[in-house]
Amino acid sequence: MSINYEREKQELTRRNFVSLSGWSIFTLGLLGAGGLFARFFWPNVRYGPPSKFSIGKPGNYPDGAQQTFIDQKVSVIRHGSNIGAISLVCKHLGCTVAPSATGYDCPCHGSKYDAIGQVTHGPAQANLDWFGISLLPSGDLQVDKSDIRTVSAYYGVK
Amino acid sequence: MSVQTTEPKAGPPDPKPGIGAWGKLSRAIYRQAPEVFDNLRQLPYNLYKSIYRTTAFPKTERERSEAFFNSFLLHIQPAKIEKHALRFNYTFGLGLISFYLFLLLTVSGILLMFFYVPSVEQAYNRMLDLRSSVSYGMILRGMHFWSANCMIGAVFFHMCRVFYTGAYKPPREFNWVIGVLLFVLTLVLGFTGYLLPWDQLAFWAITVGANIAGKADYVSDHLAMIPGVPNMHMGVMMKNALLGGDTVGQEALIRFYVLHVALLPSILFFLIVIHFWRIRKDGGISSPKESPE
Amino acid sequence: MAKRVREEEIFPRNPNKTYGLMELVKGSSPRVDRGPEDMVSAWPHLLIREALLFAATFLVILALSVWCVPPLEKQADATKPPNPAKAPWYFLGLQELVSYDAFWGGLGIPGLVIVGLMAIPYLDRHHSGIGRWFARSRTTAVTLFTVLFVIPTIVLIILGTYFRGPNWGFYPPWGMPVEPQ
Repeated sequence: MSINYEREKQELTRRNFVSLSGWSIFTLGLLGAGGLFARFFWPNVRYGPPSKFSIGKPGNYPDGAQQTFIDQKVSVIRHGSNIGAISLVCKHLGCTVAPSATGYDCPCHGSKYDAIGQVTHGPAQANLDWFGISLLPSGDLQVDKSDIRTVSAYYGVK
Repeated sequence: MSVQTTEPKAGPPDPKPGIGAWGKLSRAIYRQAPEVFDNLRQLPYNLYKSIYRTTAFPKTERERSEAFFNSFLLHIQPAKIEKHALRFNYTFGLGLISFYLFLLLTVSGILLMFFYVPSVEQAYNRMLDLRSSVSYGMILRGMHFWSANCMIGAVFFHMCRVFYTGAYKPPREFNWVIGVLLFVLTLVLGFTGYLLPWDQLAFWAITVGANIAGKADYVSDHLAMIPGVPNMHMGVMMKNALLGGDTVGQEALIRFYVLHVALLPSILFFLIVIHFWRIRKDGGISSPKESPE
Repeated sequence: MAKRVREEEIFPRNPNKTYGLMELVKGSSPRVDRGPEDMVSAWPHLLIREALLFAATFLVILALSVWCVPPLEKQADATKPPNPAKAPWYFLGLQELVSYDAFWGGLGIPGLVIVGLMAIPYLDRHHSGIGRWFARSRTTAVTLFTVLFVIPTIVLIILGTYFRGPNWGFYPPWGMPVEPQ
């Protein structure tokens, strides 16, 4: 059997095809194994503070009140019999917004929001998140930061 | 013709024949002693020769070439070099400066690792300790800081030099690609490095940076508009992989630390070695002789 | 023809050997087609330059670290972002872009720039102007690279560093409001 070496160097002969397939399977196997270990970087349990925290009795908030829980990055507001919890994390790139005369301003890239977290000035393109509020058996209100709502998701106080 | 028999050169005759194995041993030592003494006398020379087989002061062209061939560190470079490649106002030494800064960063970085603790509680205090309770601590941190800043500048201007002198053209295409990767890696090393002091700049710059990665959702959101393609939330995934959580905290600090001191420098060094090797394989640094004008 | 005869005399052709004399070249360097006068020994010409460059680099860095202490801000506080919150200078160009659009500024445009940079040698393969600064035959390439990459990079970094104040507002460097502490 004679082998045409010039042809073997360039073209996809049967011989080269088998060789190429072998190496492809080897590479795919390696990538697959690597892919399995990539899952390692997304742990199944997160460290960090709990997402739920108590904000006290509804009576602590008179009509029109606005109180900031800076450690939790949450602002609690009350309009009439409605209580809302607004996230203070800017929807642009995650800086903490500060309450201002017109609502909330972001110091990092200049986004502005109104008093209920609707964006009024870019570069942010989305309104601030609202969080779900629930009543604990003790009579305290609890904000759940994993329960993300949209603007005006008030909790009605009876 | 009389045959002259020569006694094997040996020391003076044995003082007195000993008895048994001990006697044999002591006689053997006594016979060998002069040779060992000679060897000890020549030890410095032999030690040098065993490590490096060329004179330390090469004078002839042959010795000078050998000096490069016989040294592991020097053989990366050619023994003969074009005069044009040595002109300072052709390269401004920018590539080599970048490499030197990388070496300074490695040395100062390893020294800083002896005092740094990648923990949210301790990191910042360790930075203050460098100032107050570690000799030359601030100078070492300064060297790391200034080398890093200068390296980014040097790599950028090196890239400009290579472009403006047309040094990326065939056969050097792939070395340019590696160079771009090295530029990006240098920036990423800067990014991972400035979280470590755990000061205000660190915290907020990384918060913003990680959220930029989170914006990759834009791509997966658009891909998900194609029927049958699930929304992979690429941005959130990338952000979580980077930070180990939703916000910058202990998990993010340890991840950035490992990236900064182990993973990224290893990749960078590997690419630098290939970058240098390819310079030789592509025929040395670019020269006007390659394209007559 | 005369030369040919001389070569044969020096090194007669032997059909039993697989090697033979090809050509005689004057000079002391094994490289052909290149005048040996353009080549110098790397020892000491290259080595001494490298050593001097290292000494200079090291001294500059040492002087900087002795006289310019690197900044250290207050301890990280997740509740109070500084105003303005600025990244190190080499990312301020990116931050400037990000302040217009988060995705395109932070990922889209930088990603395209990196891919574009890598593609340059595969698009521009014309073998001219190698080894000279700003060769006249490469005016187009030089102009494009400068206008599309070098100048925007530098201008954006300068903008972000000197022209951005509280709330990432635009201020001239001489009118920068002082942040109330």
